[in-house]
Amino acid sequence: MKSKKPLIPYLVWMAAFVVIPMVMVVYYAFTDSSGAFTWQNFKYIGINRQVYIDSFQVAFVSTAICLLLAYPLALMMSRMSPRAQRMMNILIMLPMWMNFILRICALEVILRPSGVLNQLLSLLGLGGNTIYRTHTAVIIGIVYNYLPFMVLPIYTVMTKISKSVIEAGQDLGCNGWRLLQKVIFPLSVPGVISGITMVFVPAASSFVISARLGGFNLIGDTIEAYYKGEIDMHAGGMLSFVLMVVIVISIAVMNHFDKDDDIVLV
Amino acid sequence: MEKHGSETDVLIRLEDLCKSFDNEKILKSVNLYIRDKEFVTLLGPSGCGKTTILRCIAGFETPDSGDILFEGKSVLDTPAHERPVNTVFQRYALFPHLNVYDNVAFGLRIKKVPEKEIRQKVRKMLAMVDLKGYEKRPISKLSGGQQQRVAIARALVNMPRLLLLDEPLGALDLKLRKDMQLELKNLHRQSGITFLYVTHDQEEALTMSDIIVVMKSGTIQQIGTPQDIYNEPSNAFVADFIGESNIFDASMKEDRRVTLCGAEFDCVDEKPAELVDVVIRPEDVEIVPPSEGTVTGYVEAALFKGVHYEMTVSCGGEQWIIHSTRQAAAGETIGMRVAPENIHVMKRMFPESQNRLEAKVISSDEEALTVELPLDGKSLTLRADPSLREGDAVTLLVPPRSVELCDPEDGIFSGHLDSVVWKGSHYEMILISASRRWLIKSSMDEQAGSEVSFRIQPDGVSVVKGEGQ
Repeated sequence: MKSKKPLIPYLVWMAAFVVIPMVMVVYYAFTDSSGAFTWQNFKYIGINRQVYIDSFQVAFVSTAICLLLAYPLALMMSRMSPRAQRMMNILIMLPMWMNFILRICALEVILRPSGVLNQLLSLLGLGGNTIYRTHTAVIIGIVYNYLPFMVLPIYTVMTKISKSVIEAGQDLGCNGWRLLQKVIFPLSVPGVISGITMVFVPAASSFVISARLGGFNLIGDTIEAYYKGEIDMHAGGMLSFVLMVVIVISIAVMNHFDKDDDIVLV
Repeated sequence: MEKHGSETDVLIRLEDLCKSFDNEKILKSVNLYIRDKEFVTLLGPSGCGKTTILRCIAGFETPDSGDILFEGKSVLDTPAHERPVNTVFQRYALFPHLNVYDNVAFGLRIKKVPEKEIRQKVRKMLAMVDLKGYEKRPISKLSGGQQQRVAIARALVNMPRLLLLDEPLGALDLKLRKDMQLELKNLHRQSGITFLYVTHDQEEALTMSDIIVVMKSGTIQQIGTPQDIYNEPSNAFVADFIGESNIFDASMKEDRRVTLCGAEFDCVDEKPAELVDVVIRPEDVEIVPPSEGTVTGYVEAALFKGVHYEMTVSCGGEQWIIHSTRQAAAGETIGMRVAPENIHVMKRMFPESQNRLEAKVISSDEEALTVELPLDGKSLTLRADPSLREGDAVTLLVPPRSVELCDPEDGIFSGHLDSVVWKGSHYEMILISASRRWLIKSSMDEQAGSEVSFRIQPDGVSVVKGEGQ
């Protein structure tokens, strides 16, 4: 079908909810309260420097942990029987059916000083945990929340690697480790890339998790704050703009590693 | 099991190899040996177990029982990546993330061969398969034929003791196949590596092999040189599978005399049994004037086939196919003669002329006789026989034409077609149901290996009192 008419509703949608909001973010980032153009808003980056550093540090560590946990799991899943694979899929999706805020509050109940974890530890005669209100707690929260977004794309790519390609690797002398290194991993890179993108971006701009579990603000919370209470659209716009630019650059760098777009996973 | 040649220089030996998948026996005690530097082909219809043999040797499947000996030593405990074999896969299975050079170099790199030596070997191998200058090409930019050659180069560059080829030319078009057949044959000669080749294409097997192993439903039917297999097929299945042929039901009263199509022919074989199968290749039938023929026939059709004419001749209710450079026109009556050495007598695959079943009478009255069959307790209603009463043991003689293939909803029994052979006037089928073999004569063509339903037509069945005879 050559007609472009069916595209129109989507184009309208994209204009209304993607393009216009982005233009508005950029507009507020570079104007002052009178609406005149200004570079002044860059000062908010300096003010919130530590928040940016914390955000990317937490996002980076969380993504790395997600990858380390998800890759072996995806590999094992892709080799299970079809029945077991369906079961695992459901088990991984299941927590996502529960409300996000609810899950974070539940984690808070577990981790806080008077929480379930400490009660258990004291029953066993062990000292209380000091995780609550640290970076570690936030990282635990992010990993818990975003792990499925790392597992599923890697798993999907792995199920598409044909059995005969694996057998060809064994036939040519690969033991298990070599097979992973020379055949399975290179062929699963597209899944790893999309997994990292799907975890890193939301982790970097996440909010609530840090406020609830960490008791400190990440960039998402800071942006939220500028739009609540004492509203400063210009500061919020600038922070969002910088976050966007950093994320776009990191995605571009990631995709550079995934240059072989025409790989056909036969 | 049939052996071929002397047993010197044996590279690999399969002993009583058995393998089942989901309770279905794929390999039934396969015995085979392959000598060094031979080109051996496993030939058979799909599902006959030939690929499973290859996968057992490569180490991708573990046989249920039996042994695989490589130069006298069992390799069953050796994992796939340590076996001295390499495989050319059916669908190539090239590494999509690597270019042509890296694909071919893969095995050598795993073995940690110095990079300089790898470069030499890969270059030489790519030249051998006619892919010079393609080193940097990604796999996705290659044609099917080129991918095939990369797959062959990738396996061969490792100089394995044994190269396994699983229908490597199956996905190529006819012209390319013919070229690749010659190329493979050359590669075999140049490399001095033993080839084990799997195909269902008899012409390919005849062209390329030193030894052909014909298989059917997990058993070896015949092992021999292409000439042996073509000229002296061991049974009707092999004769039918290996090329166009006339296969007839025949009988022998004495050695070197065989009766078929209502006439007696001289042959060179001794009598193996009363009932035999005879195969005559279409090019071995001589067309002579009617008065000089052993039999006469009526030419139904004549087609020009380039090198020869193909005539369809009916003779005593049987159809003969004749290939000859002499044309006999449709409608002509001709005489046919066959030299004694060109009549090949074979043992029948089903030694009896009727199906014999032991059964028990469940009820007998003036109307009908009902017997219980030894097939899952199913029963059959026959013509009334006052001499029989309930509880009597009987033997049913079911003629091959009384076993009818039918739609699943009409069928009482179901089974698996083991072989289907055209015998001049009908298809002779051997069907396996409830571990019993059935002989069927039918005008319907069915694919060997398929699951079918059948019923027994009561009219032709004769009942004999007592068990056996």
